[in-house]
Amino acid sequence: MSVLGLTKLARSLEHEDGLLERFRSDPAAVMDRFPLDDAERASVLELDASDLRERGMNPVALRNLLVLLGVPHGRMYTHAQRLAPASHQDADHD
Amino acid sequence: MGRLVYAGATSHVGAIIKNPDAHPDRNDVLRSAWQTMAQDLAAADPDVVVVVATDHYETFGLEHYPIFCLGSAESYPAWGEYGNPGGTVLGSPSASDGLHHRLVAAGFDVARAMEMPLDHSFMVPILRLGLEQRAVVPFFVNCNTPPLPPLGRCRDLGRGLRAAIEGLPGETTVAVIATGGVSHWVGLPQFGQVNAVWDRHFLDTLQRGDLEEVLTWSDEQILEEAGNGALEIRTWVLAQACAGGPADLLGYAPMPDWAIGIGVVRMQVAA
Repeated sequence: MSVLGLTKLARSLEHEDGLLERFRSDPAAVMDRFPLDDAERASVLELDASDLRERGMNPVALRNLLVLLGVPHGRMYTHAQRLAPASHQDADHD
Repeated sequence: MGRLVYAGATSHVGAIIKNPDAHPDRNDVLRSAWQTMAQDLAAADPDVVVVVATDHYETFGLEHYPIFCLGSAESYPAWGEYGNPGGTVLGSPSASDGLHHRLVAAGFDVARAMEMPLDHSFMVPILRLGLEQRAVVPFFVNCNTPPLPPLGRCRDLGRGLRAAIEGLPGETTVAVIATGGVSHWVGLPQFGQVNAVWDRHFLDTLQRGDLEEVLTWSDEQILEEAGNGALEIRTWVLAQACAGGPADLLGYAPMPDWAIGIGVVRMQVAA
């Protein structure tokens, strides 16, 4: 388990120029940069808030990650989305 | 010696700026509260405003996560994350360092950051209260990444901040604004809920000046009843201890469309 890796992934996707776009086109390559195990990588790809939460990810960082990846804050635990090419700005953060 | 000329607290959710017209039936209460606070701040005309707030994994990550941290920079860029306010805020390194040195000398192990971009927990109140042109000292408090500083430690730090303010040289005037809370859930399944009963009890307690009651509340209890966002009340505790007097309620409204209960208070500055 790497709470640090998951949290760094979220923060890097938000703040590193171009990384979110690269993640959308090749998530595996981007995730290779972070210390994530196979189960964590699968949960990120599935946008699985419940599982990431159980793995110890802080809910604030988790909110940031899922909103970045297009899931509205209010649907983090009920959505049926997978990674999509929509802009993160489409999702509601508050 | 320096002097505390104003203290208060307000919630800081980004929707305050991004969706200002929600709940028009109760929004007037909040607009009036912020207007009063802005007018009071303008009248107090402080040389520097200490904004006591937190961070939402924008500035600080798990690589280096302080419990308390004072910014000390000529200016602070804002992240402008997720459509929240951007821009740049003026700093006062001399005031920051003066406070920092005195706090550390008094036994408070506060970190210092000479670069400290600000997220909405700082920027929303700065913008809403018309503080864009004032010198700011950002004072970060860890409110969401356990282990959190105990509420009692935040009270003590507030008292220490008051002493540090009064130790500043010359006639420096300082305002302290805390930001955060009240009830809301961030990144949790209960997102969107508001516990107005809890919020009003908290605000009533501050109005009685009974910080000691708040200190009896465990984080587990606060989390269960008012959400992880309510853990941000440690900034309010710090500010009220700094002020030394009870709070005056300027406004409260449960704002489900903003997924939060919004409180705004002024804290009486005791001699």
